[in-house]
Amino acid sequence: MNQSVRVPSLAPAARTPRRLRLSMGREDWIMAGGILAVGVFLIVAVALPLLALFVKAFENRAGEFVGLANFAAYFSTPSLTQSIWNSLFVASASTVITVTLGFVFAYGLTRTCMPLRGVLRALAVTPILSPSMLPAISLVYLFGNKGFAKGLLFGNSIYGPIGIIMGEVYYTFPHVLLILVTALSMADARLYEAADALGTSRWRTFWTVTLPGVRYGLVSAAVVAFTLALTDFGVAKVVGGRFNVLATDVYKQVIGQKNFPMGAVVGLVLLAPALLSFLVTRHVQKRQKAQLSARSVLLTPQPQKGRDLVFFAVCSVIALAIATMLGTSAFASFIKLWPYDLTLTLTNYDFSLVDSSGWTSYTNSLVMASSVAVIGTAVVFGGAYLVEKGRSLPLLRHAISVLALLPLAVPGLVLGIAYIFFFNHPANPLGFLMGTMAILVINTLAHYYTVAHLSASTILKQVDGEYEAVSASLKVPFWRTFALVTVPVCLPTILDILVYLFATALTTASSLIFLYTPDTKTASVAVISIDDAGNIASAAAMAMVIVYTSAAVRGLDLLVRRFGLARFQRWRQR
Amino acid sequence: MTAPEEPPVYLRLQNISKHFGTFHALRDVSLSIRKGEFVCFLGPSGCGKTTLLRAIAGLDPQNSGRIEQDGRDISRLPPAQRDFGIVFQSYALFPNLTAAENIGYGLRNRGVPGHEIRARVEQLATLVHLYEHLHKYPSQLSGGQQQRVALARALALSPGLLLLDEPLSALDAQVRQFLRREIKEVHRRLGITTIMVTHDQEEALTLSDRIVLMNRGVIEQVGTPTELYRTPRTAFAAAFVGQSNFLPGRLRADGTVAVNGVPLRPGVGVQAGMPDEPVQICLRPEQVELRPAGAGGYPAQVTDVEFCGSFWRVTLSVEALGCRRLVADVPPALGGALALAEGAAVDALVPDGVAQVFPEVFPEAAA
Repeated sequence: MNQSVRVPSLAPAARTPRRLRLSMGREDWIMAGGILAVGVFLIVAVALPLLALFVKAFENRAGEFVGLANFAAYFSTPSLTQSIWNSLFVASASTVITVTLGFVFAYGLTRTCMPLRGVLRALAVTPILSPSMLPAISLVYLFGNKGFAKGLLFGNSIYGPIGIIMGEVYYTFPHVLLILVTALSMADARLYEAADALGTSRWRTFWTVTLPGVRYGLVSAAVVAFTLALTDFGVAKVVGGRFNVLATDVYKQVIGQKNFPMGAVVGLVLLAPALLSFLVTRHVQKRQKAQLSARSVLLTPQPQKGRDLVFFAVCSVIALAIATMLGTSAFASFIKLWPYDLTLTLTNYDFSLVDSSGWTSYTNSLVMASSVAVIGTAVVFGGAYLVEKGRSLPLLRHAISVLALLPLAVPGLVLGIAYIFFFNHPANPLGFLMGTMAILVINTLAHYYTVAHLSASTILKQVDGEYEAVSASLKVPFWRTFALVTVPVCLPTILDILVYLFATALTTASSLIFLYTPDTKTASVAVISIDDAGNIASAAAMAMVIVYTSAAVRGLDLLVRRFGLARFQRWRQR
Repeated sequence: MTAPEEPPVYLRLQNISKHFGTFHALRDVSLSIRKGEFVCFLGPSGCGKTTLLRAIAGLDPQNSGRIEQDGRDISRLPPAQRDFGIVFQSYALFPNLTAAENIGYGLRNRGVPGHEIRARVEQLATLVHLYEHLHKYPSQLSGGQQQRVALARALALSPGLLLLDEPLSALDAQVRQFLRREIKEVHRRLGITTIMVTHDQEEALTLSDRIVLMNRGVIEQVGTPTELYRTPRTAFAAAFVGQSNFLPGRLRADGTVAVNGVPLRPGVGVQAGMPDEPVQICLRPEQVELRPAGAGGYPAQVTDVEFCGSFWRVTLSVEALGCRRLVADVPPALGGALALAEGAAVDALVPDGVAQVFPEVFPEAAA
């Protein structure tokens, strides 16, 4: 309106529309269709179920709106509200322990010259291979009523907060370790040289240089540990005993008592802290930019005998403890009757004796995890590509990038019950999906969408933004350039996403526990049900089958990277 | 308007406007480019030159206005349906394809038989002197070689229009000089209508048939390099293209201007105005004549001398003109005769009919 209008010097042009839009070619329609498809997927798989959960919390069992009555009932039931404090307690305690141990371990790996760093690191990340039930099962063997090391608890029971905290520390340790290793390895040697030149003591350098440098990493690690421990279901299910936490409450309300509205309320209570930690992480990540500039000099630790030995001792104890946890389940799975008859046997692996699904649950897991990995990688990477490089539907593209972040804040359990409410609703035309393998695939993909999406869009942001423009000028359709250039250039990241989705789909149980049927039961769910039925040795065996499989996949991944991928990556060499 | 021997208009832009939010990147830009012309869009960063180029390509379409290419209205066509080849500042070479595969990328998609593609790729590679590097990947090529692959790729489909977006700015000075000649040579041989975006005036002056000087989303002036240098129409043009001294002055009734009370007879650029109206006078450094002290002129003191190879650049303080910083370029022989040194006294003279007069606005920040 306030633009200075000049009299056009040329002959007046034909009336031009106020907002000029390019006409859509075939390519644009295909691209818009793709964006629309990914948008619809995220809305159906993430947004609408959560909405259904939210609505359910304000309804009674008959589906009538009752305002805050459910919340009033919840908060006036001490046995339920006690779980909030229990959950916060075990989550906080395990966070403090994990972050402390993780920091020492990460410091040892990155800032000292202790021996066997590679071995120690490999041992320390093994918990990532297993479902969260595994540490709990091991704890039962070690410290349970017939446990070898029961005496170390001085009469306390492993069933309860002690067991939950120990299990969560094991389960969250690798996640914390990886974050802290990254944070600690991004150190600028020049800062330490400056401190040295100024005659600063080591202790003071640690407090004024090292700690401030990793403070964002520490916050991220603490938030991740807290969220994982708070929302995890597997450990508390196996070793929680009568100590109720939010995660087991959701399960009891929905599966045990069929009280869906109360389940929804507990779900929302569980969602609140998870959402809060999600926002904290986002905030921290925004401030964490450019710790290391191009001019920084990477710090390489110098040998220092005393320090290196101390860290080696401490880290060895931690790594040994982790190995013991995994080893216990592995060992127990081959034992006839712990601790009375230690003869080796394969009977525990004959799952048909303890579970009607037998080995089928394992093949179900393989089918489910492969589908999530293959379909998921295509959807996530294709979706991220369309969001980053697409030209049409800007609002929907923005909505996709926001929706893609949401699952990170939603605990698996909460997403699981949200699916029940949404897909079981009589008016939902998608109700036929309930009870099928497809719903497990959709749910698992939605649950782990965020991490996969973030790695895809990070790599795509690094790809030159003009490839699409160049290919348009050369009259090459965008999908051809996507297939011939973008995908090959991003191949290592695509493989990352594939392995990540497969491994997480294999080990997760928390949301599937609400969605499986006897026909679609997965191995991780079977661990819980077999343990529930009292067959702990078989539960250990099933958990170990998952560990063997994820270990095999990671091993295969390494081989592919070393030998297969190299052939396609010749262009990276100078 | 069209003179009989002049080639026809190939690209016609009418009233192009583009804004990003409240920022007006282009305001009502109109321009015609003839077939076979080499045109540079020149201007400081943020002037809208790249925005205009991207609008022509359809990559960031204008909000309003009409673009005609070869008699066809392309205003609303997506990039894939327009006829252009483009070279970006980043080159945007496909890193996983060899130089030959990059150049032949568009041909392969068209279903051209393999041996024809090979022949065409080799022909283009010869044109840009890249023949022996065809089997290499972009990461194995130098910046200048990568740039030439991008150029060959843009030419592969024989487009009617070649768009170059700051193609030389990522290269070091020597390679730049070399590639400048190479681009000119390619243009001469193919006769393709070419638009190049640059912020480097030297590049624009040496390469273009015509320069489109832009500033703040509007065209300041369109003209041949010599027109732009000799007869800048605005103070911005005078400041951005070539070096200029700006002196404050006032118009006088007799058509001359007064600088610090001293009358000067200006050349082109003088506009009718009210007597006593404040103006600024622009002098190119080579228009300032220096003579030995006492030989006639305004007494001046040398405050700085720079040796620039083919000439001396002398900074003077001229009290009569009220000017503490007047830059003059002096040929080496004369520089020696005057014994130029800091503190030396000389006489400075402004010949009649060379100075240019502009309304008093501060020259925009010029490079």
